[in-house]
Amino acid sequence: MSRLHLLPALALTLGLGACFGSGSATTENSFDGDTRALSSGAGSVSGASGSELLLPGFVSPEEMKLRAERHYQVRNSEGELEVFLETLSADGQGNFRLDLDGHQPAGASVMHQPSLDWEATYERRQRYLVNFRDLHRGEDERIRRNYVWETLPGTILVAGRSCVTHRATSRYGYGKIELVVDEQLDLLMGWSVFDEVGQLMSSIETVSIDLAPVFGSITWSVQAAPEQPYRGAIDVPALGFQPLQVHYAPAGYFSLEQKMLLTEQVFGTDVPNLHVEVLDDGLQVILVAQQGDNGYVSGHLLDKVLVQFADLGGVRVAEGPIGSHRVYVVGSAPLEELQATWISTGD
Amino acid sequence: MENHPELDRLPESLEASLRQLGGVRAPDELWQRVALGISEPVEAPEELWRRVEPEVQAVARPRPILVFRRVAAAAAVVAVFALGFLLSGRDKPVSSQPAFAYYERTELRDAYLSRAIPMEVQENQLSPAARMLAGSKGAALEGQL
Repeated sequence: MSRLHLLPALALTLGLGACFGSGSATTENSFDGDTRALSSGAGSVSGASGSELLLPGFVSPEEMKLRAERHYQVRNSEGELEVFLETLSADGQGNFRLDLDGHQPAGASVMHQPSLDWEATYERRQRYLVNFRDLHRGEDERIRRNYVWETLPGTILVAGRSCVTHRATSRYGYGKIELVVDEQLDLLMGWSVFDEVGQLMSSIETVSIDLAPVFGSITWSVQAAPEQPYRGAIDVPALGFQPLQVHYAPAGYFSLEQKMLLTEQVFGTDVPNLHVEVLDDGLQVILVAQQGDNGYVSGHLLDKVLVQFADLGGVRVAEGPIGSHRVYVVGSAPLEELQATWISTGD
Repeated sequence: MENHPELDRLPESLEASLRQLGGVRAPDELWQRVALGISEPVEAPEELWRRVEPEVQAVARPRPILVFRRVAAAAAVVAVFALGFLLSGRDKPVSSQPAFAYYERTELRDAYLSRAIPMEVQENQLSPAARMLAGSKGAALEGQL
């Protein structure tokens, strides 16, 4: 070994040591944290086995053949809870439909027949609600990295079925999620999302379920506007603009997919085409959407820019113009995180 | 190490742009990359070489009995590299996806936030597209799409 190569070798060794050293010292990203959580979550701190390293699996309801009535509860911008009674029908082969059957506005004591406007809103949104509002199980590795898992002791009855409850607590202080899973079917029967101070943001609870439904002449949901994967520069002509890049995302969120929503083909230029990037943390998603040149022009990239934000209770929004684009960030993460994500697209 | 006097002066336009950043602190990664970019192989200091030389020579001496240990050491190095590669690749995003360690995020987030003027609005002051997206994410908002 020559002297010349000695320093790089030493530096490499020290660097590797530093990497592993810092990894074990930082609970947020360490596997030590995962092991502790899974062991305690399984209710047996001692005698942790390999199987406890496996996260509990669950199947989203739209992946099975069923018809389920559910209560969707969401906090509104006044901080009050509204309840929607909806019916999810799914054939287990990728087709599904979500109908609104009742609405209990904030302050009302009983469920009412939904207004025609609300029914129409659900008709248009059903596909997006199932895809983006409802929770889905992402990659194990991402879930482990972002959440501490516990399985609560005992079982509960939900829609007549025995279920276990799992609690996933964000390692970054973003809140927690409770998942209610059918013991026998591994079917997700309900979930609750709590914010960073422990307040319920939204939840779904199955109130009745039919696992052998007969659908007859049901009309399955379709996309409200043509939707295509965004593949890069080749799709700029179809989209109509060059999308900005996201340079910051809340901890644990990574890009899952990029899509083009070609709304102009359905709604004309009233609703300009959208580029939507879906950021995923293993359980929840954040939508980063943008539209092209709408006549908005903000200042130089180094100038301060105005970001509008709203806390709608169950959902938080940051929006505003960046350059000639209009950018929207929508999710349940803390507002500062969504704002930083929004401004990062201006880099 | 050689001196690079040309690095002492920045183009005026770049300097002006940097000064406009005000108190924004560059992420540590930038300094690491700059350091990496200008670093060159350098001669080890004589004193350091003297301290490690006996051990290096001992390891380099051909001793058949150590063949297995050397193979094992090599395998361990490969394993360490493979593990490092796997760990660094976990959830590694492609292209533009954000990939920052959590401890770096607070500074980065604050740097971004310092460039924005946040203004809270009511739900009816949101744009139609924002309402539509929030509705699709489950907000209790009626509206198009």
